[in-house]
Amino acid sequence: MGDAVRVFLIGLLGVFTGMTFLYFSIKITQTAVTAVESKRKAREVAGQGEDK
Amino acid sequence: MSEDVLAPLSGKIVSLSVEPGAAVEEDDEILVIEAMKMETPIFAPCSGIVSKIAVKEGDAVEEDDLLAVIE
Amino acid sequence: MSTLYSLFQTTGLFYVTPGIVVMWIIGLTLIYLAIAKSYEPLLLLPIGFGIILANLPLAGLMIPHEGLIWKFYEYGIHWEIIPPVIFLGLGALTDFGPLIANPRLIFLGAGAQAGVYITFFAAQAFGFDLKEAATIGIIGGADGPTTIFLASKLAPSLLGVCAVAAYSYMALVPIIQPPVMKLLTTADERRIRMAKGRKVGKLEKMLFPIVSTFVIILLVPASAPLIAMFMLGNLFRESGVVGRLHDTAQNELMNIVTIFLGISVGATMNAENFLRPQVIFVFCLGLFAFVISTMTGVLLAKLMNLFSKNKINPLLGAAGVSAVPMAARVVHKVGMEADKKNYLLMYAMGPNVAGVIGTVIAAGIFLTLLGG
Repeated sequence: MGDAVRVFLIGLLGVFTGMTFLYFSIKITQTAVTAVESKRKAREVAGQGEDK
Repeated sequence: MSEDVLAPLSGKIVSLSVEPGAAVEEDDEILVIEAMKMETPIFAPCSGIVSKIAVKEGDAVEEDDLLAVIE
Repeated sequence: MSTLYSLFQTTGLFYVTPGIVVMWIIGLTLIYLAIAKSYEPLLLLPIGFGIILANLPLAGLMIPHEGLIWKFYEYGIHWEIIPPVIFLGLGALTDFGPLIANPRLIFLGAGAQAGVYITFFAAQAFGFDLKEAATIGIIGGADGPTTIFLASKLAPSLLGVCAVAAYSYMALVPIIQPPVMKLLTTADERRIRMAKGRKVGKLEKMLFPIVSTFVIILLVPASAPLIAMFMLGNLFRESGVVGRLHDTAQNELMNIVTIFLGISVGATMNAENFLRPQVIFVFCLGLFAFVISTMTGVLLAKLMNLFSKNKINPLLGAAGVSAVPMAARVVHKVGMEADKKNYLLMYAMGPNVAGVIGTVIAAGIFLTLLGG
């Protein structure tokens, strides 16, 4: 019985921990990608400015 | 005043229920999109005359593509 | 006369028992359901046929080291090859876009796993040992290959039953889920429209399988075989440079292993193994698991709504049950019944694919704690 309770709690906690980590990794990736892309866009705009 | 009907989900147009020029009531079925092997009917957001249908049967549409215009 | 009798003894007919006949009927029923009702035909058809084959006396198809189907089982399932290869195909088929666009829905995929653990608890209270209880619980994840993967490691004697229970309830998702979903939500809640998700770029979709491989396998190493293949398949898809591999993984390769999976799973069900009172419990607990998973998913969505301004349609919680894409379709249909211009399908795919990951993590944790 004690073992079952242990598995139950660790399991439930484990799944939510795993998903939380996944959530944050999606968020971090999103932030990073947005940052990189906006930098690239900024550079492109600046580049065009020089041409003109 | 005209209102655009945009695709709420991506999929394939399986059938058109109205023709350009037809009068529709709000909640009338305009066309059917198949996504995930399931047919989803798309309903008119307002009453009016269908002035344009931007897709034809068999077209693949992406989310937010223009489907039709109602005036 | 006696020569005729000894000739008769060399036929299989001589060894037919009532139990064997019952198994034939079960096999034929599954084949019937697959053909006439198209209940998961790709799996239930070969499974049904496998059951019949395993119950033909003297045929010896399941004799260790000799039988043909024993070899399929041993090298395909026991060696953990087929379920991961199926996951490769599933990864190639899965679009994580809806999940990345709306990452908080990932928790609904975790919420539905509560059903797995509650059923695990209930099963061991009914007298199953911990390993068997874990295998029964994972049925609630509604994921066939994961159920088979876990069963082959923890409770091979229950493999066939659990697989059949998982696949038959998956086929019944459109019947099992809606009453539970309607019971737990008000019509107003079902009418909630989701805020439009943002567009997800190619780069993000490409990074997702790589990043999540690191995160999940570092966290739960025991889930590695399934997650590794799942994410590789997805990388095939999103990278856009290996069209041929992507195509093969999701079509030909998956079809090939499905054949061997179905027939091997079916053949594990011989009369001695299957005709036990416990089997009825497994089916009841499996149904219980599906219902509880649906409930916990919906309830978690309602809980999240208490704390967030941007409301989630609680029906989406039911899609955390990872029967892809059946559960998402059910959510879409029930949502449209309440408001016919509420298109939930794409939003429901988010928790749906998160549910797959959640079930694999749950299986990994069971493996870690209960040993192989």
